[in-house]
Amino acid sequence: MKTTTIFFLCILSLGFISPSVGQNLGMNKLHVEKKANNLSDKDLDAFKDKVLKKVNLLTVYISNIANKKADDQLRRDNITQAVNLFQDKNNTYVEVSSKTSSTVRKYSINQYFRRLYAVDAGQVKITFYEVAHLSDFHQAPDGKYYGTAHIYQLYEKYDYEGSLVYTDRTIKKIDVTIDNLVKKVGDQEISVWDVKLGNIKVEETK
Amino acid sequence: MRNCKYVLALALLISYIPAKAQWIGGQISPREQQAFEQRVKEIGQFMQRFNNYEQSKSLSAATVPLADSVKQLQRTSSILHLLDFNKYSQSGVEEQEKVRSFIAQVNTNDEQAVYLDFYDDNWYAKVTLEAVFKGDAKELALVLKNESTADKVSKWVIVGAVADYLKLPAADPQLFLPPNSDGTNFLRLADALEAPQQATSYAYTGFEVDALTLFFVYLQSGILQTGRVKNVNFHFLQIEGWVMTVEEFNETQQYSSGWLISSLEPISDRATYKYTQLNIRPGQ
Repeated sequence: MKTTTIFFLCILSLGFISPSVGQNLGMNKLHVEKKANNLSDKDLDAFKDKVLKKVNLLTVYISNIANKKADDQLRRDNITQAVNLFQDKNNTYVEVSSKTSSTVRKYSINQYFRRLYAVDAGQVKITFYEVAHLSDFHQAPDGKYYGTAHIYQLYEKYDYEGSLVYTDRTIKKIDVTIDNLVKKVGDQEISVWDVKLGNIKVEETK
Repeated sequence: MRNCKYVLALALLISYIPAKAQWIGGQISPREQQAFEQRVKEIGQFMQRFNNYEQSKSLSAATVPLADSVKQLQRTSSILHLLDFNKYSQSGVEEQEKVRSFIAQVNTNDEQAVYLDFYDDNWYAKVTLEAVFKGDAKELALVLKNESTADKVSKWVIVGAVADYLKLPAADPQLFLPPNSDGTNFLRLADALEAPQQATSYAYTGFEVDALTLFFVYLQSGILQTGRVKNVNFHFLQIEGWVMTVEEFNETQQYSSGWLISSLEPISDRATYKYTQLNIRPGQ
């Protein structure tokens, strides 16, 4: 029993090994012939960069919106800018669950950012892990590509005397859609792919 | 020989250097950095790690091709990392033997090796929802699968429903329409159906109600209302003779978190498991 525990302890405490040597074991299975108006795997990789940039932008806006020491106009502008990153501002929501309560709160995206802006505190610091994790994208029958971005957040709330009164760690799981939009340029219609964020699931981990 | 393999697996793990990571605007402990890296964040990443495909910044620069036996050891360690640490570090000989025999079957050094793919058949999400049935708070589990076309256009579809109220009263063998019913133009049929609770007694021998059909009927008639998602787990049945259940664990786990293997169980056959545990009709 003790040996087993030590064995697992060694395996897991030394860090996850995630080598890159498996490509020749069947990764080519994932390469498929795409139709002309579809994205190739190479295109999708390029879009992943764009998605990550957008997600990182969101993290900057969230930090600023929460930051009581930041310029108030900047914080309010960032609410608008953050909301504009989302696909459907009226039907996009944030579902927040906590470890200590079974209550799940649901807010519209706009409401969520406004609540963050108005937290009653001397200071709120929200920091994010610099690298967001992005899942693979999969195409749905509507032609769009769907994936999920994961960001990790450290939340610290200070009272008006500057003492840390609350802290938590949460994961934000964000729906991401790559959509093929038809835009009119003069008398011509052109097809462009665009990245939009969608619903957010917030889970407290610690 | 087996011990030798595990020593080598450990040696490979020791050589792992975590990718450099930071928090924007704040401080984070090395333990938390490592927890973020290690966390299995979504089911696609679970599959990649199970397959040992995941790209690692620290190892992607490796230019020396690795021997098959080393790759096999790496995959063994990857799969071990996907086990729920709290459960399997405390497990007895029987559970350890299951893990050993499962890995031996999955991670062979030939074309018999089994890999997971998002577009595979035979893996399912079991989603537990809050529900209200006839005014009472209940639970409901829906079983979903990713239905895909040949060109990998896909969507999640409901293939099963599990709840104790998604059934009809059992047939009473004492109730039947006698063989002369035709003689009176089935006069007794109207009487028989006046007691709806006993109506299935008059169905053909072997009639079984489909829980998924009942779910949709109850939902559309307003008898059943559904609420938020409470829990999700995945059942992987691609590996012949096994069901692997995967659930999401948060950082209460000491050494691992995210989507991890919560159980590995041998099964006699896939179709029986699907039918008895997931209420999936044959063919799905």
